[in-house]
Amino acid sequence: MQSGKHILLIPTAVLACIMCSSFGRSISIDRRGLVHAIGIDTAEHGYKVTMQIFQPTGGGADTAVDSTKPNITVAVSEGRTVGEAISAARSSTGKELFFGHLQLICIGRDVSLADPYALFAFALGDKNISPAAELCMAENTASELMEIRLSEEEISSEALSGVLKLSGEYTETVSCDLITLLTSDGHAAMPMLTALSEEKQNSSKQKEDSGDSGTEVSRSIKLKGTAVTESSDVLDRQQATAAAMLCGKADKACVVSKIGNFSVTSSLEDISAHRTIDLNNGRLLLTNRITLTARPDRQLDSRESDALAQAISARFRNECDRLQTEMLSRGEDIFGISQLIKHKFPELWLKNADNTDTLLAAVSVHTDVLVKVD
Amino acid sequence: MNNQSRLSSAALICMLLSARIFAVLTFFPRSTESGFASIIGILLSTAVQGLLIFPVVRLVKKTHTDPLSASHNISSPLEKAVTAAFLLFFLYDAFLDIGSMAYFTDYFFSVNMPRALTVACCLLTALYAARLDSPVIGRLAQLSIILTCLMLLTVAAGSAERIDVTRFDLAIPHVGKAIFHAALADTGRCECLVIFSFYAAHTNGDAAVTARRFLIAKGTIICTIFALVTAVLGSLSLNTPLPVFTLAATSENLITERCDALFLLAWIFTGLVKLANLLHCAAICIRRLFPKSTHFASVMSAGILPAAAALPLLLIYKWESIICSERSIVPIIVLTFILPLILLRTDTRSADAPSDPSVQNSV
Amino acid sequence: MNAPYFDNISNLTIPTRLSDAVRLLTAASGNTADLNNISLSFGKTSCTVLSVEGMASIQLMAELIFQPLNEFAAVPRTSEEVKNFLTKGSIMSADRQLTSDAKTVLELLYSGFAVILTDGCSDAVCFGIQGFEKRSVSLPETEQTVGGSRDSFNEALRVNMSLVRRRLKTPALRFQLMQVGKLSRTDVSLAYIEGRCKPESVDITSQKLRSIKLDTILNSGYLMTFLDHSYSSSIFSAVMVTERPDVACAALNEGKILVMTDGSPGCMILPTVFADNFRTMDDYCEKPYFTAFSRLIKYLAFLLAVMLPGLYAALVTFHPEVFPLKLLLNLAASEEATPYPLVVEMALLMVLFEIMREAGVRLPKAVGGAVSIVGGLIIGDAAVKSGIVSQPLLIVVGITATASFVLPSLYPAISVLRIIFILAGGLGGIYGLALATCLLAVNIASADLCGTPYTSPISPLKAHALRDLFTRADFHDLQYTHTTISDD
Repeated sequence: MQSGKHILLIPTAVLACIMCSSFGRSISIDRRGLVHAIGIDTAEHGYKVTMQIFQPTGGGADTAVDSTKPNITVAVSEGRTVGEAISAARSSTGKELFFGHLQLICIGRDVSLADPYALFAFALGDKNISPAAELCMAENTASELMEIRLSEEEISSEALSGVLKLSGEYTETVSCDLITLLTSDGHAAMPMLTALSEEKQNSSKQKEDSGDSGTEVSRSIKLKGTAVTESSDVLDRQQATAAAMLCGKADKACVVSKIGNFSVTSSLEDISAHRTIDLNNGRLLLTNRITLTARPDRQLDSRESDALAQAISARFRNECDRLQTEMLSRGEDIFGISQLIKHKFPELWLKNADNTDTLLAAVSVHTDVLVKVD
Repeated sequence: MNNQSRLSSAALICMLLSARIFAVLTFFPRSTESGFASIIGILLSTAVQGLLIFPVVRLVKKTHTDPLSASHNISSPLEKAVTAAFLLFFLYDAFLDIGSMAYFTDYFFSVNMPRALTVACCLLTALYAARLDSPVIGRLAQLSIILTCLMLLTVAAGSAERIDVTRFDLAIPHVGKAIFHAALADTGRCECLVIFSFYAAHTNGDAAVTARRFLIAKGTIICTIFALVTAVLGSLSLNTPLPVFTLAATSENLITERCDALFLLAWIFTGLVKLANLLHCAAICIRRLFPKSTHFASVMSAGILPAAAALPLLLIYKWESIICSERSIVPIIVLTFILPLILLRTDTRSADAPSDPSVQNSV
Repeated sequence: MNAPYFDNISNLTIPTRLSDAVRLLTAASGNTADLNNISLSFGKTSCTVLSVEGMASIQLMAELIFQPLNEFAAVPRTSEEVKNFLTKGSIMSADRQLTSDAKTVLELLYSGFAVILTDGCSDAVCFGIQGFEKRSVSLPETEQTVGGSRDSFNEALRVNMSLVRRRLKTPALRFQLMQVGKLSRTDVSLAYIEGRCKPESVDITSQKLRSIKLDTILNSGYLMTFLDHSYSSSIFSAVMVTERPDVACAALNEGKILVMTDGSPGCMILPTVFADNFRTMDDYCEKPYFTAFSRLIKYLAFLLAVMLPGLYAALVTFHPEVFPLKLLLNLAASEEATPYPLVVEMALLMVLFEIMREAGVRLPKAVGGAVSIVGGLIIGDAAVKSGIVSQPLLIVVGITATASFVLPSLYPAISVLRIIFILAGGLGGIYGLALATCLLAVNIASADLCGTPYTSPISPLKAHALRDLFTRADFHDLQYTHTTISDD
């Protein structure tokens, strides 16, 4: 049996190996460029990438970062692929770019999403990029959004993400992340943002110095609608609400209904959706069951409550049926129905694997909306 | 046999689980076409494995010895052949284990630690554990399983809101073939069965009960991992190199943004336990073949050989070809099923006959 | 005498002639100045009372020896009569020994016995009338509790034995006494409960103690390396030292063995398991829910104390994606201003902390508090303001330091492990941390004493013992089922 003291040489050797291998190779946090948001546009020979990188302006009253300033610097680069553009940006910034906290990927209007796996190969190949990064589309170019320096949170992308998150929560748009886009084979709906015209002019005059005071979200960007990736259509707010409900991403909403002679504003909560698909006489029938709770802004008697429930139910039933029928007839499955068919009728899906648009177009849609008035 | 050098049933199960779980956490078989088909294949494979280890269980029940000791009782050349077969298997598996740990560590960590030093660190740590008795390795395995279960629970809790059961589908061209391939791939990665046949006679509990519990636990955990990955990532899991790592990267909780650091901690710990286990088993085989060698010397040689074999492939960046190749199930079937069956039929001793004295203290 | 041992007078008997006997013993003591020699006469028979200055009680000697002897000396007595009186005819002391071995006489003399030599008799009668100065039973200093008892072991072995006996009034409680140390001949006592403890464990422990060939045993720590075979190779020790009699008695009840050393206030308990470091007497004075809470806090404190600095260094340097965004931004901004790499800052702060702690221990109590103020407030605050270290790092070090004080018995191990984890995590990231964790786990798993693994009852799993691991077993249950370390 080995002497107790001699055997301690083994752990010592392990520690020595660790120390020898990592001395000088570790990257200190202050040498990393923390990339929080990235914008992708098409360029002459490929892609143009605009990145927001964290750069602290100075200490705040209680924190190390002054949250009244934008605290970002913007780096722009081009390349034949997005990955190449990112590599070019590394050398221009002089920092080791770190994508572990990439919160937002903004896609320009002109970027094709026909092959999302090829476009986002840089994210799949990089172990640091989380597949849960949010996606949004810019009304024009992503770079104009990325160059806006927002000052409402510690960094701009936090403010942007906040807008997207809240909009998604209130069903003004349909939120989308990288996993959703990649698992739905490129068929997805995502928020569309636009830079307000006043801020577009100001941003071009802004200095690179992140010490600039920045600007507010409400004056700089606006939610334009919800973009459908396949056709680049833009859904309005009503359609977005219906789409969010059908995708199961609706949380809260607000509707105005006319009951008799007066209008009632109702907050919709506890929105849940359940869908089933059946084969009926050789035809696929998709049934969506949506339940929600409506809280009107005024006291209603039982008759008025029933009327309100019926009004809201009819409205959303019609909206959902119309939207879904329209989308499916064009083969744009932003609702994940393909996945449902694969799950329930795999043989049917395989039989029509080359003709999925036709299969989807042949789906009959029926929506039931159950409204409980509180 | 001294009770203190015997493994408890729970410890053996944990050692076997560590071996299997490390393989799953590292990467999925390249032939995976559908997560759901893989789950069905795994369940089928687990049922088949119950039949595969039946001869081992019978052998242990009849002779109270492992295949090495049973072959010793028949003839010395047979013993040497059987020992050499087990030794080669363990060394090969240790070679794969060391190489995979070094290869994927290089991928996981943003700092490029030289592969030679990664191999050295893994090897030394595994040697530190492998020189001890098997009950100590069993205790280590129990700790690693606890850590792994905590990790899986944390990852599952953080990914719960992304779970979508509709991602389980069998929309693949040849379902039967996919399930069959999945079952084959799962069996091919079950070196834990060989480890079971090696240790089964050296536990306190009943071998049949241990085997049953192990198979149930293994099937449950592996299916759960596949199910979680499929339900959260869907088709993305087939396109990322390391699905479980990707799953951990998407898992968010109140304290951390991602759970991949916790995953890495559990992965490395489990890998080291598996490697220590393999080196320990190989050292026992070496001592049988070369009785004059000391335990520490045999552990050292059991470690240095596979490391020396893996290092050149790692340094010239050819390890990926090893990873991509499918693992054959033939060695597992031979060592777990055929060999014990032959020994069972040819062993004419009764259960009361004294066992081989040379291995009383070797495990 | 060439060597300072008793070797050259062993096997010598006390001469029958009183003068020869006195000369022998005086010469064997080297005519030491603290040897008192008082002669008494009983007519034709003479006696000499030998004692060591300061070891025997003067008052007891006067009351129990000289007074009865003076009364007995009123009439001339023969040596036989004197011997009978000393051994059977009077009650002079509860501890009375009769020996003719010169070595034993000297040992007893230096243990505080009064030795009476009688002319014409080769047997020396030794009376235990120890009166050496000893510290009284006082408050425990390192193991303080809220609801537990307030007494602690002191340096006198017999007092310690009585503290244990007082709590366990069972005939099954056994004490084995032996002398260890060629020069010091220190009394060491082995205590166990017959029927609870494994007999082979007692035998092995006793053998180990008897085989020690050290010159002096001045502290229980001297014995630990002989009792615990993995002492030099293991970070943690399977032998625990306690100064509390209630803890010692609880350990006896679980089938453990106590080793008490004369001159040392610590009582060793073996074998211990890792979980024993997280149990206190307060756990058995509180309700189970609070006990569960405080035990979890202790486990968490251990993890924080050992792993937090290394984990922090690993995550900030290698895996910053784990941190929530706001925290990461503040960390990045804080680290921008500091000149040194994080691992260097961390190591510097930990070393500084250890220096201040060591200074606080060595300084007198009146000044020790000033060290805390200087170190904590001035140096720490000034270091942050001057930009040498960052504020988050100081918080991490502060939490670590506080957490390490929750478990005083593990402090030595925690201090060393912390530095190792800082180096492993700071230079190797999670990979280094995992390697270090694995090495530590192997180190813990490989430790066992008297057949009890250090990782028990988690591994090997003992379901019935688990209830006392994270919480406290209900006393109603303990009435009917009692677990020991030897239960399978």
